[in-house]
Amino acid sequence: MKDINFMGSRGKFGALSVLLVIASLAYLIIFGMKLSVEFEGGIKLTITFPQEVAIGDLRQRIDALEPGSQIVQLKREAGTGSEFSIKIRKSDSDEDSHESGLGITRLLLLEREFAGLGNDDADLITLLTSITDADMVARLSADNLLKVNDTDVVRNKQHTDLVTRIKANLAESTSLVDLATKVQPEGPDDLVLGLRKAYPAINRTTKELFAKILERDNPLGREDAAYADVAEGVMAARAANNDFLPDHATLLAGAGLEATEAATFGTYMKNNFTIGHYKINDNASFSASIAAELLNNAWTAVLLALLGILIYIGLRFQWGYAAASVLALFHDVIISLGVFAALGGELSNPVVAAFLTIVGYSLNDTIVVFDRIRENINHNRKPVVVDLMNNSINQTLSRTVVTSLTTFFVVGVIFFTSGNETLEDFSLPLLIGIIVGTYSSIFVASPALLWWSNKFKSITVN
Amino acid sequence: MRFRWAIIGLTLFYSAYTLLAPGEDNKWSLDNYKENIHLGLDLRGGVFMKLEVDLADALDQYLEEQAGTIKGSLEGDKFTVASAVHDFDSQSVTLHSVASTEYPDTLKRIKEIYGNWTVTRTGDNITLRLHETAKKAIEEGAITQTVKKIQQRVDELGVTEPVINRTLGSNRIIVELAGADDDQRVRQIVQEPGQLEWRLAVRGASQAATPEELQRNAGNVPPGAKMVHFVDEARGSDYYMYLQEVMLTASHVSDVSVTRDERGLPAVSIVLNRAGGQIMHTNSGSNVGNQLAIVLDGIGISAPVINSQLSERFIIQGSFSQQEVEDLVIKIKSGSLPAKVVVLQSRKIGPTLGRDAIKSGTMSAVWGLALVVVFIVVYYRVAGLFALASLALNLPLIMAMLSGIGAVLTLPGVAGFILTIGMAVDANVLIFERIREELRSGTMPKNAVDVGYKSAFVTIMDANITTFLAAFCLYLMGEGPIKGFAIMLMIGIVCSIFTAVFCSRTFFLQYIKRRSSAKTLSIWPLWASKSPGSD
Repeated sequence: MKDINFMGSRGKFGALSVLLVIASLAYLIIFGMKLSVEFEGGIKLTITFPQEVAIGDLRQRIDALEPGSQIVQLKREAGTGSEFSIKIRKSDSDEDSHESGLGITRLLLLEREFAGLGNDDADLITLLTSITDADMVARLSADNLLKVNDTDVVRNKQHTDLVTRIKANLAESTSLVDLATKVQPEGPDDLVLGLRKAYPAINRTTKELFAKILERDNPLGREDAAYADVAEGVMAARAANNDFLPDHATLLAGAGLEATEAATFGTYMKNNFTIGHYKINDNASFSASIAAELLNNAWTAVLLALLGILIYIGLRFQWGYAAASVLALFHDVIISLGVFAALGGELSNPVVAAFLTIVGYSLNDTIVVFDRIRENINHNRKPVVVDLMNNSINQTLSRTVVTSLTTFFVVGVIFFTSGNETLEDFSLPLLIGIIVGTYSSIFVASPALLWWSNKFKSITVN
Repeated sequence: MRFRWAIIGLTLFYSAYTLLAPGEDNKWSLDNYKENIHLGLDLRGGVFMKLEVDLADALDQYLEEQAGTIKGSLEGDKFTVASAVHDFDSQSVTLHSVASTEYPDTLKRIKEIYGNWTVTRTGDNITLRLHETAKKAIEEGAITQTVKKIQQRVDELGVTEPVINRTLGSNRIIVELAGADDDQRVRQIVQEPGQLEWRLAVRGASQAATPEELQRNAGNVPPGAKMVHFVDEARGSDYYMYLQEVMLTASHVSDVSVTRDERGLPAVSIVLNRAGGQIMHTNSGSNVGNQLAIVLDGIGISAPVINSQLSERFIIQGSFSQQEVEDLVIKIKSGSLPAKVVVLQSRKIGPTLGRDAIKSGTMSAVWGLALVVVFIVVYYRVAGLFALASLALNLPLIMAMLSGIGAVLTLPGVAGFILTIGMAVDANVLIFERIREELRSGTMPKNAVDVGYKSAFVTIMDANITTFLAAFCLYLMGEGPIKGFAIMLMIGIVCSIFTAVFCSRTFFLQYIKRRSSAKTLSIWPLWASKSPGSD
């Protein structure tokens, strides 16, 4: 094995590094880095439809309500419906920007549009039309939708009035929001939420809640009112259908009941549940004030880590090593940030975590080399620092390459195969960081140490 | 040697036990790990909220109440006060044109009564400014009360294992509801002001121990009457009463505090607002001798008898202990939230999201592992197998430690876990490269292994401690799922040092022992054709 003269070309690589750092800084200063919703405030929805929905249709509907929102179609296997991520930034002009989310009214209007793409509201309106007044009164009154804090008699009466008004307006209503506005102009949101809760969509219900509703209603009159098996069966059928039951027949088949029970259960489900043709998979909202705070915490974490590491290396080695490794670290983080930003990455919590991992990882590499340099210095009487450094880099080279490769493989696999947004957010900066970190531990850290050694205090002196 | 194998055996046993230990069903099965590895909300699905109690609002509400109360009680103490104005910015209440015939030194008297305030005088006006300590106590009380209130309300949601915690030392509250699916409703529930009602008892229908008994005894109950269950935990009493419609609500009550009655016994002082006072005045006159019940969220908490016509200010007296009075005050006050609650952050995670993430995460881990396996075995041959064996030990050990310390597995944690697979071989690589070097310089295999492990150990520690430090900072400053990543990284570092340094060395020693006379070691494929030391 012949030694490669890394240190000999330190001038060229030094220039390259400086260039890269300047380019990254310039990019970051001029274009900045996009911030995710959690660091900027706003909401992010992930919504899934069982059918193919054209992104243009969705955009048109959402733009009318929330102009300037970002819509991205997410990757999904063909034939498994479509999935979108919708980001709505909260502007400072929004009322009550201290509060996270859009406020119920705005969100319900958005949901009306999602519902419009399937036939959700129409389904619920059909359900409400088909069931008897008495059933509806019983259901809404049991839920106490109107929050009547009085006797059963009074509560029943008020809900009977409500049902009469609902029934009268059903024929003319196109959406749930529309219906609620006609029936209960003061506080329509409560009515929408109440009706949704009273007649949930099976595709949007969790298994636990479904089992609970069945236990409460006991549609089959079971003695122990236990329905875990039915809930399990229906949810398994839902999972088998790409998480969307297409109709009541599939639902019933999944429940796995005998003919007599199946008929009763089928009627019960038809009268109490809609199917649901969209679902919100993830709904995250951050208020502007907490966003600023989270970003602050992220910076603090990075600075704390740098400081802690500087002190540790300073104590374990010498301050020269600490300075050189922190310099290499800045180099790695700035270039990685620059490349990440240039690739269109957004700063989010997972990304900050990934960058802290880069900090740890890049140091890991650097320290292995430094450790060897220190060892070689101790074993030589009259060391020539440049040669020693070159030896050390060469001695640790295969380790550096092997570790970088294994880590790169694994992180690369996450990035290319997981198909999960959070995991991808993590792995992209890591991939960049591994490359830059490996480069810097060979070409940046040791020259920096050499520079310090010549300029301030020779590392051969204890 | 035996000692080493015993430790490895123990570690394996610990991992297996922690991961497979049966839960309540007491059945041992391989599937138990699903229950023993606790999934974070982002993998389980549910609703997460971070709330903030608006402390400024809490103080504001308090000052507003106090302005009225102070004026009122001074007037009761033979003072005349033209008006009382509260000012939030200076956290003070200013009393205008204060005079008293009873006390020549009004300032001194007021200072005596209001120890919690700094009292100053300008002309006829007296200003009371809230002490810093009193302010803290009010804020603290508002937070505790809000947490308690939200706990009660969330219980009504019927979610299993709701988590409602105050972030230590702050005015933040974390709500985690696994399996909940309606974030809008949770939002409504946590922000809604409470349900406190004051209702007059139905005359002639006295209380009874059971609903049936009450129905039998009551005879004709007027329409609109509501049967209410009274629970007095302190006295262990539990009874039912018929009550009339709601007379007053939380919005009519401006202050509730602990006081003493004319006999000097502990009592509850109630101050109503003007509207409340009028309602009270009209209704209490015709109801002297009847009971006035206080109902909190549907449960009766007290039903004192009206002794005379009442208006804005009155007290509830009885043979109460100081503790009972304080509890009653807290209960009546908790009828409404003491301050506004702001939702700072909320997240609803659908049930399929986590399932899909676990699926894709597992796939990535398997593929990543496969790549590492192939690479290491090709590159290090037999020694590579030792590295893989220690990696294989690493995985259950990490999971067991995660479960053992009660941490949750989050989605970023899954990423951390996969990352650990890549980084865990690093320590082995460091050692093997060292051994190779020793072999190359002609050292006998057994010595080469010893030297390799010894000299690599220092490097391994230095390199990993720095990564650990970075992870620890992330743990300190990060939150929720990110904390999960930091914990995973820290556990991963500890475990991989153990398995790489201790376990793989054991395998190596065992291997060498069998071939103590061997001159070569299969760790050196790239230069295997040459004899050691020729380089």
